[in-house]
Amino acid sequence: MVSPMLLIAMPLGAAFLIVLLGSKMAARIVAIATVAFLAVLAPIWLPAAISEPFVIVLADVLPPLGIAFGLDAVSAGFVLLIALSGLLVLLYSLPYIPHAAEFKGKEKAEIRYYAIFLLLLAGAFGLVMTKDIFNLFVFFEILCISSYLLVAYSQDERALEAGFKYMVLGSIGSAFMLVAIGLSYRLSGSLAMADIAKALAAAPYSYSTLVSVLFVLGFGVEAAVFPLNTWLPDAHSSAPSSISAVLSGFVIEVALAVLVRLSLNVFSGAMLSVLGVLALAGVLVGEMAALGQKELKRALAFSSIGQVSIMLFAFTLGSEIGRWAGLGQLLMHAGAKSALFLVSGYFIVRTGSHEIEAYRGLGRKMPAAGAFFAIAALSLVGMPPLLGFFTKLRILEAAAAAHSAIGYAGIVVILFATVIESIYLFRIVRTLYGANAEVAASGAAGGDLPAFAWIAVAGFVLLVLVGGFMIPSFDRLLQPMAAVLATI
Amino acid sequence: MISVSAVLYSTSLILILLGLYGVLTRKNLVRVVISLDVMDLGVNIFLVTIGYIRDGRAPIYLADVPASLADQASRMVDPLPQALVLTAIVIGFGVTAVALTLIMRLYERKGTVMVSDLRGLKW
Amino acid sequence: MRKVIGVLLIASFAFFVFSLVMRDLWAEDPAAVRTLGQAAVEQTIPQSGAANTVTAIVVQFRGLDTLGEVTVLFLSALGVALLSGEFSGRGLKEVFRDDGGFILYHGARLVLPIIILVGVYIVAHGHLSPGGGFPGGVLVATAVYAVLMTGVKNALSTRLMAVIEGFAGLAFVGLGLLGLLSDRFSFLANVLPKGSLGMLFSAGIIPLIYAAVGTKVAAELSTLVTSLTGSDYASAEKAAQGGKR
Repeated sequence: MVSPMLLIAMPLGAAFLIVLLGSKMAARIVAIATVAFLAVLAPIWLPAAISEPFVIVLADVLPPLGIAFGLDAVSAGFVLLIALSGLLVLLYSLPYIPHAAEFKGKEKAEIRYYAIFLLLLAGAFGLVMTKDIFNLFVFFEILCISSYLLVAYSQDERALEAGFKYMVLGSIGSAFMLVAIGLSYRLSGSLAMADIAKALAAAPYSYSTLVSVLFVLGFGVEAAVFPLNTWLPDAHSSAPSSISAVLSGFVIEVALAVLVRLSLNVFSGAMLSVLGVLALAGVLVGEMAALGQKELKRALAFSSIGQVSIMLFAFTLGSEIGRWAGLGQLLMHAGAKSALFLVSGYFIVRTGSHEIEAYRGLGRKMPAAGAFFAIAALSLVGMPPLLGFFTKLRILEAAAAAHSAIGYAGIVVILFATVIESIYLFRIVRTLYGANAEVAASGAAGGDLPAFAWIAVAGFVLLVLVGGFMIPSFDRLLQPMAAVLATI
Repeated sequence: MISVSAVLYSTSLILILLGLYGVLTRKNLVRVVISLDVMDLGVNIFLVTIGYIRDGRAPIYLADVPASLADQASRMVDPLPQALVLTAIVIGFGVTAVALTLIMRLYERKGTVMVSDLRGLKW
Repeated sequence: MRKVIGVLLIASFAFFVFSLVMRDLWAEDPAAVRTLGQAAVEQTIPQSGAANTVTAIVVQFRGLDTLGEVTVLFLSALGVALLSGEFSGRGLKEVFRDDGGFILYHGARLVLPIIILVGVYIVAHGHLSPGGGFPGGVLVATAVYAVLMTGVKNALSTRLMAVIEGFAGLAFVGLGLLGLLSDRFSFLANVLPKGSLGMLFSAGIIPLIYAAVGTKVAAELSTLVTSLTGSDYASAEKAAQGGKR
């Protein structure tokens, strides 16, 4: 069996190779080849990891002296998601990136884009596989810094400001995380999550609370927990659309999943209830704010805040059904939101504008793009028979099964949010197919989506389109993941 | 007598708080980055101090010294926090470098580094 | 208003931390529970053959963290190069308009080989004394800065630096893969002979990894400063022409 360490070694090696070769064509080929290779291996590792988790020994040194690392059900599931999403977005980037920005030195910048993208993937892979808290920090930093850079990629004023704000907030979070790591080491004498969990359980309540709070503050920035997510709307709307798709598609979700797993198993469980309340607040704030947006990507960004908060709420219910539902929603959101952002990228390229009004009638000029957008939007709202309906239904079921105040509050909030979502998403779709076709879309040059972009978006839309019928097969993956999420 | 570690821990806490205050309230972007740096410094001092042992020696084995290896080992400070700090310093440096470059680029475009003039940076 | 909120936040945070935790931390005795550090101190010589325990931890026991750290530095260099692209001519290039005077000009060139030698020494002795790849690489980069500061005509080939960077990175990953391919089947395992304590050629792959790291750090930091000051060949030529006009 091929070692899953390739998930780290190959993207890193490929990034170094890309910089070494310094040619755009080489960069594209190396990037796609690497991620395609890993995307092929991921489904092979998955069933093996579910039946028996891989324990990976690094440097021939066992924990606690060495780094605890491994591929279990949760890791393997996320690896599959990250690899496939990464591959599709890379394909999309091939025609898209030259349009993403206008600045001198664009040629070399494109090479760096692919290198940084690969490093983002490596960071995400490492984040889900590691069972050591400092190693977690290092991979988390790799993920974060890659995102900061890619958000600022187009280097126009908004992108630079968004990148800076994201960077400062993220760095504060990292500092807090380091303090939490130091305190954990002091208490337990080890950096392995399992040992820290045992030590914190026996520690005085104030100590473990402090460590938990610091850690949640650290991870919460990247996981877009309300109110630490002020960076999100600006970052998503200024980043190249491929990066917005990646951020909303799996980066935030991976951070969220790690946060939840640690809160469940290592840090004090009291954090979960706090997170639950924050999640509901996030749903409300996110969806209400999305209602008033005039720019498409900003609306989608606020929608992400809302959706991620729904996932977090499901996770904090504390039951296996809740986790199962949250994971399902995560999967659906990755597909739908990525598709929405990727399509919006080409809306911007074709019309030169970020505003929804400028896309009036665009759905007729770009039929494939319009159709993909509409399907993904419907799934996000939760219309049957798309995947979104089943995942949202499951979350409501889990909330009801909790028989708690927060569960019932959650049902009300989510239903309310669904109404809001449908208002603004339908409004956007109506604009796309608007009657007044001469108003704006006549200025749109070029045709529909180029081939690679088409394939990428189709891939994501396929997930939400047929996912509704593939629920049993998904459950065979999601159920073990939900169970393992409650262990460390 | 106030112990060494008490002094160091207090210093690190003060630095972290000062840095945090600076990041939240400074209007000049360069000062925000400097405050971030101060905060990182505080965190690093905190981490190193965790390994402190009274009358400890540096964790390096010397071959040509009368004390035996086992003897040397029993008096070493904890080397792990030092290894953690090595990594943390490098990561902090990387972030600072990129942040400063972002500021330089912003200055080039807008001619200002004050938050008030940069609409997009309101928290 | 923001300042008041800031002070209140900070004060409450400080009170929280201080009252909960600080007392427990002030003990200076060796920890009651067996720590990773103690295990490292005991296992350094048997498992790695290095005399410097911190190096053994950084390169061997927690080698993946170091690979991650090197990656973060790589990202930063990439990021600075990406974002500085082509500064339109204002800013730092004005600083280097002249050659810095007699002392700086000749002093930098005189001291350059000495600094590089010291840097290489520190990298090579990482497993025997404090130091290692990171400080050594920084020293070598400092030597480069000293020369770059002496005038706008001095340029560094960013292409060469990129090649060196890429190679060094691949070397690190390659050394890790060596471990994967060996019979230990473990990434970054120390598969070369450990030698005897205190010799330069000992501790298996540790000096090799530090050599790769040192080279990478030196190349990256040089690229970083070169991007920020516009000291790569293309910009240097433009600036030199601009100065003549």
